[in-house]
Amino acid sequence: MFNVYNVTKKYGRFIANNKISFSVEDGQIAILLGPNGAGKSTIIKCIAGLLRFEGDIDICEHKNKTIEAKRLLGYIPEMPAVYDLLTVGEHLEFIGRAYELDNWQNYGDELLTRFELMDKKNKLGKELSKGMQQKLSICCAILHKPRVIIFDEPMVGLDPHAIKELKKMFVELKNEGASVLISTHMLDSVEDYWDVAHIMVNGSFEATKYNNSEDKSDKTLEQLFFEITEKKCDDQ
Amino acid sequence: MKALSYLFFTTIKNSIKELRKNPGKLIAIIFFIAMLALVIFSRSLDSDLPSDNLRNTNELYAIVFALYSYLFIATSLKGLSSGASFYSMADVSLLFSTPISTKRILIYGLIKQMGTSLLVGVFLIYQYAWLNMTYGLSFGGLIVILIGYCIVVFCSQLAAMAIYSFSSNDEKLQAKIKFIIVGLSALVVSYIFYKTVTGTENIIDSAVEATNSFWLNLLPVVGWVKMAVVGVFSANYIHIISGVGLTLLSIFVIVYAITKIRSDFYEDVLLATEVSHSAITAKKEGNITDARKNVRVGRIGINRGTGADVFFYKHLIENRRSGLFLIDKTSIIFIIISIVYAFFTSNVINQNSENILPIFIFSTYMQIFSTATGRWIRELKMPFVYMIPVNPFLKLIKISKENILKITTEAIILFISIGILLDISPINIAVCIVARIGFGILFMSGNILTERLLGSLNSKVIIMFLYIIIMMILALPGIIIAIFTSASISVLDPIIAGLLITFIWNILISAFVIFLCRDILNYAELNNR
Repeated sequence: MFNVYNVTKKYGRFIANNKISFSVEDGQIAILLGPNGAGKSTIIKCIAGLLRFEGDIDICEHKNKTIEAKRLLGYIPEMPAVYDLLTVGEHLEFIGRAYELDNWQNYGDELLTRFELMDKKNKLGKELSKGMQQKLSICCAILHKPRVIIFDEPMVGLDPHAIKELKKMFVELKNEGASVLISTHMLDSVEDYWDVAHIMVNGSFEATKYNNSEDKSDKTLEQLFFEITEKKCDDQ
Repeated sequence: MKALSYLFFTTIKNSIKELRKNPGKLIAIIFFIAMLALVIFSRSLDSDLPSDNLRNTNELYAIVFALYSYLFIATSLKGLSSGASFYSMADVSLLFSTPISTKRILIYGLIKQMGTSLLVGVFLIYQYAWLNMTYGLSFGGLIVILIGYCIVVFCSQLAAMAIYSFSSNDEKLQAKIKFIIVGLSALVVSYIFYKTVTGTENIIDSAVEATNSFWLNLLPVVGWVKMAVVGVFSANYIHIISGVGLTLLSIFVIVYAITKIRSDFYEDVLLATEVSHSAITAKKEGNITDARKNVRVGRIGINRGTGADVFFYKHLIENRRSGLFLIDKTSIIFIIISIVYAFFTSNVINQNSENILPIFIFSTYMQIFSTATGRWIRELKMPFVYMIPVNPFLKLIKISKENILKITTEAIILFISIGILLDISPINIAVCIVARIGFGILFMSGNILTERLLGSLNSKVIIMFLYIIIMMILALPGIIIAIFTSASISVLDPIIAGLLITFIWNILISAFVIFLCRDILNYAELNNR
């Protein structure tokens, strides 16, 4: 699980995230929804340990900047980041060696097969299309079997097969007890596999909705989203 | 033409207006102009050198020929892979689909390209001080060389475009063109080499005489432009007229061939535009791409290293696939420049150590610009180095390892070459190598400090400017200590002692700087991420 306590992130005078607190339990999928510029990527980067912030973030009871936390964390950035001059297979080898994993090869091949990259195993990163780079980026982030996985707009640029496979993977990770956080502004991409959804506007959480019988609201996630975001637009 | 002239002038107008919103850029431009003025005026005030102190101007003509040839061949060869483009992606998506004639759009591209060529050539003006001091070159003379340079750049772009137009779909034709260009270049080099070796005069004079020979003036574009430039210096009107005439004729023939024979040139410039667009976008986003088109993958697998160590072995693979062994193209160019400099100043070199100092200073100055190319800097732009569960200080050391190897290799190649060429004693060579490694490590740590302090700044011009200042601040105390203490060490030659003192200072200050920056891999935002 991971916890975010009172996280504030400022760029100069601009407040990108304002006192955000939430948790994602083991075996839970949380989604961050919000229009462009709501602060979703910023909080994701704070959790990934890429940005400085005020507040606290714990990854399985370790501070998120610690080596122990990094071992348990997987991060898939919004823009796929792969090395131009390493082959697809070498990217996995690199991760396997950097995280000092044992017997990663079979799981690596399994991931490549799922994302239809097996036949591209000897292709260089620079030879891959944007979508393929995104798939490789996902494989790299999952290879060390993290307990906490954060996806920043993971569907962008993926083909229908990869989207289907990724959605299946979200559910599998959840069933294996991982905590999954997905940021997106595409409502239809998250459908109904989520457990909790946080709607962000202007750097703050405006609403939280649970996908279970305890949630008494009669509004769908989509209705709630548009009600909040369009109201904010009208207010401005 | 209205739309095109509107586009052209509005772009210029808006880029000037942009300067108001971007005072940093404006300050940098004013600084560069001021530096230019300083270079020119400082020489003008001190131009009473007796003519017997000057070197033979034929050497200058040979340098001009070498510069033009390198530019022309390197750019023309691009025509065999991606071609060349005068256009931006915005031109491709907005302009190419308009009902404006392709010829007009080509002329628009050519005019734009002329402006770019002129801007690229400004670096030549910075060479005014030493050219004036060494060859007595006047400022007007430098402008003539600059105009020749711009013409060569322009013609080479045009030639690359034409080569791509006619050969992009025909591998056999590409091979033939490559054979002709490379073969002709090899012939020229062999001719100069043969004349140099068999010449009766000293090596430099023979090489210069061969490079300036009549036959090489007949080489397309390069020879013609050089002939015209030399014609201006020697008031030889026949050379000026024939050089300019032949060059204009070649421009006309290429433009005619592109517009008449292959009037649909859009497809031909598309690939080159996309290549340059992705390079520019990557640069804007702070990424450094390995833009080489055809990469030989070779042996697959990293096979060595765990934890942060794997970065070093990964870097070695990336270097191999970049087509280079340990040192990159920029370093090779800087090494060649330093060797050429050493060669041309060789008349003051002897076994005495104090005479290697100017060469060492020159090559260290060059090193400031070649150090910024290590692979560690690319790691800062990727998330992996921040995410991998290893102590950030250890990661910083490990990702710098490849650069230290590069610095050492560069130092060994450079000073062993210079040493052999100029018959410098092995002790002096070894001390130069050690001292250069010290400066290399200092510049690398200065680079890390620049990233740590200024990585989040957007203006690359300001970063470069401050980077040079940081380098000076870091290096200066070591140099001052060396100057004042080297004389008191009686056991060693003062120059040798001085160089060794700078090495000790550079290593100590570098270790301190790297230690202070140990958190750089803790937060990606320190590096504009």
